[in-house]
Amino acid sequence: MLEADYVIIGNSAGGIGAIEAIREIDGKGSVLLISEEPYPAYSRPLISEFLAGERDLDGILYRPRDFYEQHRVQTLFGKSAVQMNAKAKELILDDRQKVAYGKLLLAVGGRPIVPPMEGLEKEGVFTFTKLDDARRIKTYLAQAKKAVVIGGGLIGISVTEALHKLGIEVTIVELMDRILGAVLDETASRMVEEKVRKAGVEIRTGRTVKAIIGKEGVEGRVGGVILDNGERIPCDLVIVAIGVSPRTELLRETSIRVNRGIIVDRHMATNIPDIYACGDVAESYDFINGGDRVVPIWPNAHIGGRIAGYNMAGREIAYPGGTAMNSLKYFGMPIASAGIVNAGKDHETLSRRDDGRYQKLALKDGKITGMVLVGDIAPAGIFFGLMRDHIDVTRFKDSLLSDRFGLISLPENILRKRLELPDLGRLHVFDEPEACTESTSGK
Amino acid sequence: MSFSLGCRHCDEPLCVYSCLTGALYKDAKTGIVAVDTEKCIGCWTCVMACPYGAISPDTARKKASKCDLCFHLEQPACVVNCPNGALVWGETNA
Repeated sequence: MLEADYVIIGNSAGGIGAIEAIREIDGKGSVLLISEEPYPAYSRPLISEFLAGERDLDGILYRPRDFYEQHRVQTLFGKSAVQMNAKAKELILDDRQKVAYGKLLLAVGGRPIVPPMEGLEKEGVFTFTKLDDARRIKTYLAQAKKAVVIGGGLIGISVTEALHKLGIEVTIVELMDRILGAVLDETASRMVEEKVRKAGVEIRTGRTVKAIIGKEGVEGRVGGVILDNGERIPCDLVIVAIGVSPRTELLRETSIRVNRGIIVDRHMATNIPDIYACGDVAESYDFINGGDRVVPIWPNAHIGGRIAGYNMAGREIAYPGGTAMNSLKYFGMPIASAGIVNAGKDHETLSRRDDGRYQKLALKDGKITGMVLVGDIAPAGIFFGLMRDHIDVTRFKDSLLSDRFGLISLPENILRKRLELPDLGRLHVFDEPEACTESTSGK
Repeated sequence: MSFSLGCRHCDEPLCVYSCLTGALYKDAKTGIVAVDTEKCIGCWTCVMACPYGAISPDTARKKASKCDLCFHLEQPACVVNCPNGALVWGETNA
């Protein structure tokens, strides 16, 4: 039987954040990391660059190769936990090994959503959330010219761009009436859509794939799709990129509370003592809607992981909250969005648009609750900070979308306060060793 | 109008925490927050995460651009080149 003071399941943004935080506080406790993927932590958003052949595994690693050694972490790669006994504080792995934990972090992420449709079992149907997905697609491409991507969201557009770079003809099939509908408003969606179309990618909106059909002569392989309106699109592979849902299957026989994702408090603790959760599997505090929800994005997973790590190691730090935020570049067009992107009538909207640039802010009760920036995203950080800290911008809102906007545009009393540095519990790890335990909080 | 507000090399570097690729890091010895330009893909998530607006999107190089206190030099270039010696470089206990 294996045992460790800290057991972390999941080797991505959240798991790594937890390890870094734990080691700031506890240099001695044993840390065991379980990951079903056989790789050191890599940047998941970069699998599209891997697929496009622009980066190899080393080029997408999230931390240096010696990270685990440096942080004295025992790793079990290529193994997954299949059963959990919260009373005995034990896990059972797929190879029947038992693991006893002192504190446990569930940072297992999300699973791609694949809705039922005819023909899913055919060779040439893929999802796109892991490095192995990119590897399998890459191998399959040797015999492919055309692809259909189901889903015009973040994953869909990113895999489309990679395939496009490789000379594959792509058709995106999106259920909503526009692509990136969850992260952009209508104007921004149309701008990206135009860019994507100009690059030669076909887009079908308001449509779903009814069936995946076989290739003539090789029925077991993908030969095309049939849409709900009967349109038939020939293709050699299909990528299902609809989104991810929390991987809560390990919890089925436990009493850990799960809504859509695992329910955690502001310390990232579940309702069961010594079990924590973070990232895409958890429902965490959203500072815009004031409730808990699954926001499957990388920065929130990492910060949530850090907070979990501190609390597991005995330092009580509350998660400040996160909200949907995405900054991306598709087909050369930078976009940044956060919070409420499709604001209703109860919001005031500020916007401006000129060639290739679009900026929109949603305001409620004088506070920024959402933003969409296309083309020029430079002020995104200041906007996002004002939004996160619920700063009333009424007095200077006219300057927000001017070219001259900067921190200096803020009234002095607000500005001075904003220059105070945040505290999320981090210790002065870069001080001399004897100062290591000194905290920076309480200023 | 603007005023000089460079990177503050935060104790809580939200840019580092938000970086999708691991390109941004806080040096354990010096506390300096810097960008590994090999790893940076220019997604600008850090630009969005920094509440001080201290990271600029360098659209020509497609890399995040920020003050790293010229850690590879003996002194920051701005200090060395300040004609009136108004910028000074040193440590304080503040």
